[in-house]
Amino acid sequence: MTVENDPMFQGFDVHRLAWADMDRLARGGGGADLMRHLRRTERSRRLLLLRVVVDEVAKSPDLSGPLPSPESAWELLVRVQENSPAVLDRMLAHPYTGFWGGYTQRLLRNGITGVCPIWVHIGHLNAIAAAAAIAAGLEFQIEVPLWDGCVMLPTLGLAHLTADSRWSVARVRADRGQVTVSNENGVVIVPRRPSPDGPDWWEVRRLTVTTGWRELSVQLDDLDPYRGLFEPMPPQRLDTSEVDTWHSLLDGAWKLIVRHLPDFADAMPAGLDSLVPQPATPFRLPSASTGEAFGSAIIGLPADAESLAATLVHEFQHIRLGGMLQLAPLHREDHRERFYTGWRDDPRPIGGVLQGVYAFFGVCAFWRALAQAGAGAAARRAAFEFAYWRGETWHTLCALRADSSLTPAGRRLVDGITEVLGPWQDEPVPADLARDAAALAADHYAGWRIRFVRPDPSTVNTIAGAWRAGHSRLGAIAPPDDRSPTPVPDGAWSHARADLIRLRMTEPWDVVEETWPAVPDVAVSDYAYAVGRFAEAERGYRRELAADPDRPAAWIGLGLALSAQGNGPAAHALLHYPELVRAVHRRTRTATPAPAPAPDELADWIGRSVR
Amino acid sequence: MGLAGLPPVDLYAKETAMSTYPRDAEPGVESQLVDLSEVPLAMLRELDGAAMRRSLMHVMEQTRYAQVRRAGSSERID
Repeated sequence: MTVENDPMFQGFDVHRLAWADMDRLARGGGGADLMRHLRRTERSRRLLLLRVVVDEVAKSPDLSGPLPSPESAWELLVRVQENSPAVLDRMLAHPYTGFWGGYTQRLLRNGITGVCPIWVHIGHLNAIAAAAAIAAGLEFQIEVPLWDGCVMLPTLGLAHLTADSRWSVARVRADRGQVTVSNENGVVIVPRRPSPDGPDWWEVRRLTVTTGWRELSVQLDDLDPYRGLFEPMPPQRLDTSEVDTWHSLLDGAWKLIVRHLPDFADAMPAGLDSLVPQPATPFRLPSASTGEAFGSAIIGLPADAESLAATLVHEFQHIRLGGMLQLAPLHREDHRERFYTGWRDDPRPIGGVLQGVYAFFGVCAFWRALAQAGAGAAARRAAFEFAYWRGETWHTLCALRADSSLTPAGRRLVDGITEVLGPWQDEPVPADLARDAAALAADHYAGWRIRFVRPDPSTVNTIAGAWRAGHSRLGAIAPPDDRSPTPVPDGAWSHARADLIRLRMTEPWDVVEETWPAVPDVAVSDYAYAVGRFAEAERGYRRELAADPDRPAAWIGLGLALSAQGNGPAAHALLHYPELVRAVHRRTRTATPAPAPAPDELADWIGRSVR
Repeated sequence: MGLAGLPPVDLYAKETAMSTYPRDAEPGVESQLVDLSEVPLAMLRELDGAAMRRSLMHVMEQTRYAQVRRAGSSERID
């Protein structure tokens, strides 16, 4: 029976997305209207999740523990909708309502408890209902879970109470205009917004930035327990100076997005609700999102507004694609980790690859626009990032286009991206930056190959035997195929060269000289390579390989240093099939007592034969 | 269509008018999700039928694997 003739759904419809809108989204377009359409789909999904949780608990009332049944929360939410439907919708749209629903449903389905006892997770619905009722101005009373002395009222704030045990129960009460949170040890009076942090109440902060007539307003949520990726987490309160820093960076990032990516600036305020701040990571900008928390992005403190703008665009693309995925699968279920991508160090499954391609397509658009509009050091940095990401995204997109796991909707998405990203490949970029970008791409790809591509052992034996026998050349041997990588890495990887090149792009020379030793896992040879002292880098990598002949970053570093001085057979072998060179080197080391061959000598010999 | 006696969901009213896809609209993707935009919460738990069950099953199935994305890290996620 279809929805159309189901008696319970006469007049109702299912959520749809027209191909024309799919195409707009694929090309990086689609304004606020389309975001609201995706939101409406997400709203239905969350309502269904809410019902699933409440229905499940109704079958096993013991799951509620010391709290009343979630029916009481449901009834309170019904009152909220009857009095102030917009408030209910805001609470449904809150990103962490979505994550809470998915997480709690998973716990119920699998019969497990999670970070807290199951009744604490189920009881969070009471806290959601309480927060909605407070916002709607209702008088009510409801019991809510208390975790480590904290009661979270989503979107509003967090009350602190003294608690006798890690998990207990508190009461939220709204009466004659006053809201209190209490337990047997005390009472917290919830202040009106805005309120400074006090000993017993922290409100959820909001950052609002405006450029011209465009406004972006997001929660800076360091409190909600369901703001993370996998499990609920305790609050990590920022101090006021950290909030000021975030505000300033967001203001700068929003100016850049409005000026350079007006299509994104149209859509973003309708799709981005909440930022979860994380501490800075030196030389990196980690960020994350989950499809269950539509509207939220977790972002480490960025070094500058440009980095934050690129990251906001990146995470916003994930949010958009997450919304599309609620409407249609883009690929058949396939968890095999088989793709190389320029943004991850490990092989990825098709679902992750699609997400990455769409997100980095947005990143390309941002850096491209910034490079075209700017001048000086900022434009050079943007041009470098554009050159790097357009190539990496295109490389992966080409692999995706040939993949049979794509659904018609997935193919439509890929085709749309291709139409825009393809012509960008030929746009001019300063030659030195294009070289840097190509070298960085070669570095990462070769580093992936040497760790995840396993050459055929018989081929390795054949080549090692030929080397030992003193043959001047090999017969025809094809390099190993990279389409069936192993999930287990053979050695660790270092991002030091990538970090150093970006440091060189963003900082003046004296800062680079002073800072480079702080780059994680950096070697002196990496620094020599990054600043163009290639012969010195070559000698350094040889020394590293003499000390540790398995180290992936040293093999690839040697290939890069050789390539920078003339792209001979050794450089070719080390950058295109380093796994084969290292495997043969290992074989010659272990099979005979004779001294191991010099890495570049062996690479040169292999590189003359394997093409 | 709204159910009698219950208020519309006003946050989405404008958007609904602008971009609802009627059944005879141009072709595109059709999801498993029933559009609940105009179903009041008071009625939601009473709804039954094949389409509703299919929708409920769909959202439950989707929670099997959390879709998590992380950039700038080499940590294995999904």
